[in-house]
Amino acid sequence: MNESVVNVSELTRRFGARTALASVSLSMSRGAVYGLVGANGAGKTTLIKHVLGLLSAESGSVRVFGLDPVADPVGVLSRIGYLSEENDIPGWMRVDELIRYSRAFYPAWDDVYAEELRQKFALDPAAKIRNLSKGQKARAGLLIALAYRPELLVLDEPSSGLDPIVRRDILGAVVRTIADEGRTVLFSSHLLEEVEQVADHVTMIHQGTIALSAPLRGIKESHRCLTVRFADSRPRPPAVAGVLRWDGEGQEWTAVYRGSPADLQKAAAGWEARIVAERVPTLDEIFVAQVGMAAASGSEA
Amino acid sequence: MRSPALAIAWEFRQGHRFALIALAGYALVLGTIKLLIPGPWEPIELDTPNETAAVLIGPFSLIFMYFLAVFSFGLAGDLAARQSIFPARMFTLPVTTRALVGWPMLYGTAAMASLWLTTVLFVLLPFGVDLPLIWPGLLAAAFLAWTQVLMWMPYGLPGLRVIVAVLWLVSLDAVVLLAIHYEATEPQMMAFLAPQLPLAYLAACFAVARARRGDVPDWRGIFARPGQIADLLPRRRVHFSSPARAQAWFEWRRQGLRLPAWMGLLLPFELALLFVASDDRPELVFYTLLGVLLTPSFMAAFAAATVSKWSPDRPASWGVTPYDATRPLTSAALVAARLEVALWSTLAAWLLVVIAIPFALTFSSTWPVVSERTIQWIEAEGTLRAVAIVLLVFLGLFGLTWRQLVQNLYIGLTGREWVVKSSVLFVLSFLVVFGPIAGWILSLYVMALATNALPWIAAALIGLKLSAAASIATRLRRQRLLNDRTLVTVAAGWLVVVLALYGLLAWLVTTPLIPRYFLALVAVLAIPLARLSAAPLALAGNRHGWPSRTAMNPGRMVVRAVLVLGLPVVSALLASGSYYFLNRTSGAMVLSGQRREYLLYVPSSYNRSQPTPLVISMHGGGAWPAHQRDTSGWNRLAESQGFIVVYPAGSGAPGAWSVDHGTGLLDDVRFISELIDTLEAAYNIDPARIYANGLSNGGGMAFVLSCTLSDRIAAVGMVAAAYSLPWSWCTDPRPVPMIAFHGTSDALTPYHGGRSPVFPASFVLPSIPTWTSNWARRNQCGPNPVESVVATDVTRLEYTNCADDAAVVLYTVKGGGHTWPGGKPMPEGLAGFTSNGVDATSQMWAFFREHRLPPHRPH
Repeated sequence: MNESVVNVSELTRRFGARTALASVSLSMSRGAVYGLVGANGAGKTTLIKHVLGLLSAESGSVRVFGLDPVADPVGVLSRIGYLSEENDIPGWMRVDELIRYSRAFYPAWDDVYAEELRQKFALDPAAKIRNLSKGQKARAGLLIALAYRPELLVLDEPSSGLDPIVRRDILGAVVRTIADEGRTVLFSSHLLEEVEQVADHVTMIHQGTIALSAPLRGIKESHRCLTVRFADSRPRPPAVAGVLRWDGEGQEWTAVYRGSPADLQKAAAGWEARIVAERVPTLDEIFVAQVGMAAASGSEA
Repeated sequence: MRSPALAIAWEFRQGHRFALIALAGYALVLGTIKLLIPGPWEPIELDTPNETAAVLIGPFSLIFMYFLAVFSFGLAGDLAARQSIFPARMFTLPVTTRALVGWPMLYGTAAMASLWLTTVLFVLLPFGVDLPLIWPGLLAAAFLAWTQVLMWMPYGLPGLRVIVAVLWLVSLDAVVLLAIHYEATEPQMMAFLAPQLPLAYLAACFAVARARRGDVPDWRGIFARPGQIADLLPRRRVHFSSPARAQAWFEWRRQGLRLPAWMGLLLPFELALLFVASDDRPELVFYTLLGVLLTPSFMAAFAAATVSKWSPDRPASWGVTPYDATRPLTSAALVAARLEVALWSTLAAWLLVVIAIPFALTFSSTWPVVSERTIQWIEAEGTLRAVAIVLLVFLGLFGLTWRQLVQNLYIGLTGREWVVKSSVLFVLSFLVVFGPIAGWILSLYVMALATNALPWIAAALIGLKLSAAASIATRLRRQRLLNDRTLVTVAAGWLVVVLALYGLLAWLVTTPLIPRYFLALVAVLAIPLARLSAAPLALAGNRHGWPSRTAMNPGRMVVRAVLVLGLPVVSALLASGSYYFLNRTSGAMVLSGQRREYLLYVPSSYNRSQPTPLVISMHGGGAWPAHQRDTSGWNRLAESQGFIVVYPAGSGAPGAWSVDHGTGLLDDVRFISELIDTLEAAYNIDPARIYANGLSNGGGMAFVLSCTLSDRIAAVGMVAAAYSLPWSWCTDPRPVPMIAFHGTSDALTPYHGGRSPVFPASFVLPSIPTWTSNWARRNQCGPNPVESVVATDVTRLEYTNCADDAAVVLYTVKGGGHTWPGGKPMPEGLAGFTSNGVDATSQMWAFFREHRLPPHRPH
């Protein structure tokens, strides 16, 4: 069954004069981990808020499990696990109170699993949330987002400001498990190496538009990082279709390139240059190249 | 901006310029109002402040508090935190601690001192209030400096700052109050206050230096042990039966205990007054109980300000937090949880009150006082009625408390900071400006006049309420926040409660002064509907993001904001302006230090060479000259018949004639006498044709004049006269012609005499027929008066064959109220029916015309 869990089409949202999302379309199918990447203020949180129904679509539509999350908050939210960037669980609650309170909302709550997670995360049931460290707070948030095995887990910048151990908890164990069980994860981050580790599918969002949305493997396969040595020193490398970005100076320039490396090789021969190195770029490099290109095309327009 | 001093000054100015401009504009509006309408306003009295003083004290205190908050950085920080409120970002500036402390303190104290100077020079002195120039300003500065110290000091316990600050500032206040009481001189006060500034500066340097090096004491360990004991208490492990129950628990834990806790703190202090009350002051017991009973709803209004907030931990957050917004509950269910918890809070608060009162009464041995009067009251009212009244009052107070907690929920739920802040501003400005202005304009009698309009106002309000409710219901339905069944249930429930309240009120309220339909209007307005149902709508908007406002033209937004904020100001200005211009008087004189005013009408046919009659027409209690002019319509007759009319004003505001045994009566009589002198000097007045008449209290005054100025006044006329002096008071034996008009359904001055709702309960008014026959005896009339029917509802009784031809005439209007027959109708709800069967003014004039002052009557 390959129905889409989240279906966003032509979604536009403005805040005052600023356009936060400009006709964004996105479809997420069951059983995959979706990484939402973008610079600060690119629109990641705005998109996630639409998925949760915390913002209503100004134009376009958002469907989660085929439902409108604004019109049917109960139907949608009870099937979503959500860990917010701010992790704003009220500080006055104790961990056991938080568990008792949260379980009332989710029919699928699994007490055994919750207890297992609590022990794994070493959360003291009598501890007040406000007295927990940031990492423990994140773990508490994660516990109540996971304990009912939600069909869709939404993590908004889950690891920002957390130490590597908590991050590993969040990413490794959880995200993978969920995807394997046929459930879906949407998580946003600006730490691209993290996304690279766990995501099946990457959506790059830049200034409210989707710059790139494709399976991670496909992205990796279609991009190359090539270092070109020219015969003489150049102030500027030649423009060529497929090169997203040039970096370097003098004789040696490095290109982030999308397309078949053979084409670039052919072009290099024409410039009396040779390719001295070729490798698969990191997601980070692709992101910087994509965003740079989007910015350049934006300024040209 | 090259110096840190300028940078700090810029920070204060930049952050608060709009607020300061708003405050200045506000003060300007007040000043303009005062300049435009000096007439009906009272002078400022600070000793037991009157309404004028309230208008002045209001803005002054507002600016004072605002300065306190701004210059101590109190707006930005968390008052309850242990850490210093001084902005930590400033600690890293390359500036010495002394400069960091010195500049804000200097700016603040200077601002406070200039606030006081401005107030004294531009407001108090022109108003004629003489207050010292220096020391109150110095006090304000010292108050600010010490507030800064206490705000910037790090504390060992959370919340300690608030307690210390309140205690310290109250004690500083107490010193000053003592100083005023013992009449300390300006130099003494300055000697006490001036050293406060350097002391505060040193203390602030110490406090900020500690804060800057992170030296925050921590005494929380002391309370760790009791906290652990609380942890040993059994905790509920049972699962919640439904999400709604879980949410109710959540809301209860979040804010449910606030109102009961506040009540628990306040009640002991309030009830302690019972122990002070002794047998000789039973009224104190009742005042205390009244205060206690009113406290929950009063405190609820304050608690409501926090009930609508999402996170008490984050004082600046108005929007719903993602945690709350992602509860898998409908917005209606989230609001319902709040309404339910507000109910539990109300219940808990009232439980405390209900338990505490009997305890306090027993232990303070004030039971007998209360029980004795309660039994008396029950006997007077009848058991059933008494129970119903107690039940209604209790339910009313209970409902009011709950209503206060929830009725403005929708404002906070919008999550829009500007909505919340402007509503707070609106309420504050309403309390500060519009309240007192309304107090003046709608002073007692004007209110009575407005009762004609009151049903209309109420009907308009109801129209507004119901149309708002209808539009909200449509939106709730369209946005699928509530289903049709719930909407119908809510509407039906509301209707049932309104009907029940109306039934109860109709049964309880027996006075004819309040018509039934008015009770129905009250019932409809009293039960909340529109604002409550707006709450889910507001929450939904907040939760799902309000639509972007780009669609709305900024120009239109400004116009809207100006309308919303400016309309009340403009309407208040217009109302007070028109009140003044329509009701101003045309002349005034000063009598024994009192300014007495009058309104004069001279006909266009007036001829200096011709002696002209003078009619003095006196207004009823609580009214004023222009009102009497409009009610009686004397001007029209004066124009066509060629006589002068003067409408003198009684004393006080609202004006009244001192028809009693006090000294005011002599002043009033002298005023009329000197008024006649003044007019005789200015106009060719025929001394034999001076007549006095009046309505109600003014009619009573006409009787007084017939006994005191019978040597100047040729005849008198009364309409619905209120004779608050006994017949025996009049010792003047000279016959004075008299014509009176009285309605048989007059509720305020009953035709057959007796008690009246506008007089003290023990006072018994005379019967009008008896009074008339007394007058006939005074005028030595023949024994058999002639009765004739003038109109279907009017009969005329005339005593004839009187000495000096001083006839006595009584027009009786069947079903007539406390009104001027043939004149401008007064509010029927209050005054009753105005008959047109007879025109009192023209009949009076016809009567007056036949009577001149007999040659032997003058001295």
